Amino acid sequence: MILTIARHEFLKLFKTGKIWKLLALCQCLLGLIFYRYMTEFLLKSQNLLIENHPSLGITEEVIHPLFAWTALFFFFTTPLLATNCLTQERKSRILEIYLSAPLTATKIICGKFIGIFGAQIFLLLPVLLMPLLIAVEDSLDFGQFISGSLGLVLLLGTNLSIALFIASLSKEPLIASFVIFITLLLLTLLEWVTHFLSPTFSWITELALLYHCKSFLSGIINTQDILYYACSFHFEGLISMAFLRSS
Amino acid sequence: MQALPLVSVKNLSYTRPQWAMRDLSFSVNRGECMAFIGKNGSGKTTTLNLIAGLIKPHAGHILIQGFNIHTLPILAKQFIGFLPDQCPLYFELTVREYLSFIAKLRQISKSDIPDHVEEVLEKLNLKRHQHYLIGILSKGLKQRVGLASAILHRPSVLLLDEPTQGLDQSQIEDFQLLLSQYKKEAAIILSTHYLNEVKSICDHALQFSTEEIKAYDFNHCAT
Repeated sequence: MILTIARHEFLKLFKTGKIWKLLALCQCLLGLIFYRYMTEFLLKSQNLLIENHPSLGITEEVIHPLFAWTALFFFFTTPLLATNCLTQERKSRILEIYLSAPLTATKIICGKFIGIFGAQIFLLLPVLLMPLLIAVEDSLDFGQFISGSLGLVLLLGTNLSIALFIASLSKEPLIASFVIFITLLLLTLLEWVTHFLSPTFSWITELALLYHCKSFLSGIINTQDILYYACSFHFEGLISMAFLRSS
Repeated sequence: MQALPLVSVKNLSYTRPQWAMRDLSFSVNRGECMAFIGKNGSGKTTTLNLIAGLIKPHAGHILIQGFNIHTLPILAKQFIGFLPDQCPLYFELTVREYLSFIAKLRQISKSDIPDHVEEVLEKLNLKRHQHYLIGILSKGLKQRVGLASAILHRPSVLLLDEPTQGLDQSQIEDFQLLLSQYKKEAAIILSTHYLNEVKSICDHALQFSTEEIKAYDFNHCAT
């Protein structure tokens, strides 16, 4: 049943054409960013070659910032996708299809999560192909590329579970999208805020979304970071289910 | 031994700022149709939503074929077909795609889905429109698709919230004929503003108002 709902959510985005618009935007923006970093890297490398300095690592110089921009891009798309599948359906009363059927809130939330997560991965895949273009001509650090990709996937999942939780509370899609975006932004800025606080509050950094992604982007797979994302998935998923059940 | 009523409502209480319902009890048996009549905002839709398990009552309980809708929702909801006043439809799907999706949600086995879909398409005269997108259909056709989705899994309890609203006279007559046929195998509860509809297909009625709820029994001409 979860897969039926997931498949429906995934295909619905294609039927309404929303996913193609997002894909075009994603490719356009991140393609330009990739091009910019590549040009910068080539110029820097040429200058270093002239001055007989050791060359720069392309993965660190191009892929790392590209992935950071990708994470930022998904801060904008996640609220749209999450509110479209939950808040919008609640407003137009389509959610009653699911609520009047013999389904548990767990199945509804999990189905919707997997469907939207699949759509996000669909948007992410062409971005992951960009670094592979480098591998054709230059040496790419595949370890860092794979860990960075894993970090992005985990970050997208966490963003989505937070977004679905907020979407399950709201009845107005526009307000829900705005609240999700602000929440994701605040959870990212937490890391920056701790610079202005006393060391006693340094633990707040641990709650920041991008903080745990950083080590992945640098090529380090840390079980602590995986655990953070897994706990986030689980916790936000559980409270979304509770709110859907009580609605 | 008396057969178990398909819908049994006991001491149902629910309070809203504009009205309060206290200790409402009634039952609907197989082959019976009950109408909820009354002005807008008198509590008809809320009572239907309570019976469908979409909202929880403040007191009392609702049994669907003996299963409490709020403590055993998965079991009870298997027997319910629900058509809200605003038909929940996916406009980007075709009629057939939508009905197939609903059939999967209703846990009809994969091999039986085509038969169930064919049956409701035939019953509701939707065969000609089965490959049309729902978004381009007229209001009457959308309402028929909504009803098709409600009876797709052959429920024994059918809950309809103002099902004939926005339909023309011939569509209303077709609809009433269909309900009269369906009534033989199920219990139907519908909310309506049309007294003709009540008289032609319903056996009982509850008249909702902000002060009280009156019961009418058309079979015995008593109130």
